[in-house]
Amino acid sequence: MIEAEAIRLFKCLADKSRLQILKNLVQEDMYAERLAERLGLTAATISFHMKKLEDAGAVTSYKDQYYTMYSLRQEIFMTNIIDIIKEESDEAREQKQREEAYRKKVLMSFFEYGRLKSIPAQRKKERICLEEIAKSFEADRVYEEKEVNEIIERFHADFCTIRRDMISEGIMEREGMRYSKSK
Amino acid sequence: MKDFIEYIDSSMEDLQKEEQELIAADRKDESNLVRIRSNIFGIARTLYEVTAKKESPENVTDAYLEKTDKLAGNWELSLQMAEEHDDIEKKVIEEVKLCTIQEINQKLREVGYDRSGSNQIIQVSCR
Repeated sequence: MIEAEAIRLFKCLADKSRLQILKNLVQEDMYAERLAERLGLTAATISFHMKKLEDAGAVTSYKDQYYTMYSLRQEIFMTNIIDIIKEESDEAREQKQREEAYRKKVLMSFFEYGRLKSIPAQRKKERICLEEIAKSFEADRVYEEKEVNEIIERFHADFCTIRRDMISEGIMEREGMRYSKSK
Repeated sequence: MKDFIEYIDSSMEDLQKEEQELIAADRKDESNLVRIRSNIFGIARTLYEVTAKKESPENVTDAYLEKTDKLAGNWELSLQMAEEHDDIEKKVIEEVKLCTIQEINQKLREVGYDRSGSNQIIQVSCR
């Protein structure tokens, strides 16, 4: 288990209700409504906790007839804490992880369900958003301006600003009215 | 509508207490949901007071309910989006907001007013 995964798991476990859920799941697999009944919480609150536990890799789910059943990922809890502590930290990898975490945070703030909510004022953040939009363009393909606008419009109505900024940031290249993704 | 304001204040007090208890019990995420409920009570109080200053006494409730309908409309949209994208965290939060405003407005009707046609807030299952 890498450091980031361990931190995510420990953070997730630092909650009494989630520990209670795991205590129930260690006995047998259960569905949300049953857990809700046992713990005196609403099914919605249980779903909320289950999402966090699943994201942290602590539980997994599967369909059983009409129910979504949850089960404990035993192998995660077999990991020795001492092994996690002993694992050497790789500075380059950590740096990359920090960058990736920052990138994720920016994308989460500015994107909602795949649409750009607003164009970031800060250049560094805008670049991250532009790079995300650029993922919709194929490498080694030449696009007409109309096509570029249509693709960008899926993310934000102001395709002119975004298209222009992609050029000035060197993310896209323009030759006349034809565009391609920078290599 | 002194009763209504008193109801909001006492509910907020109870919720703040519940929030602190949940924090003390290491149930931070649930305490956040309770804080959201408390904030909705705060919003309702502010909206009601602002409306009461602007409107004549007989129009206050109507005008207030109109404002909360509009607010809840935005939350309904967010809830629909969250459901479409299977965003469970957001879905739970939007449901809590909608349930809370339903509960508050229901109380307003109980303490002395029943608007014909009632408000149009989507009925979310609140437990």
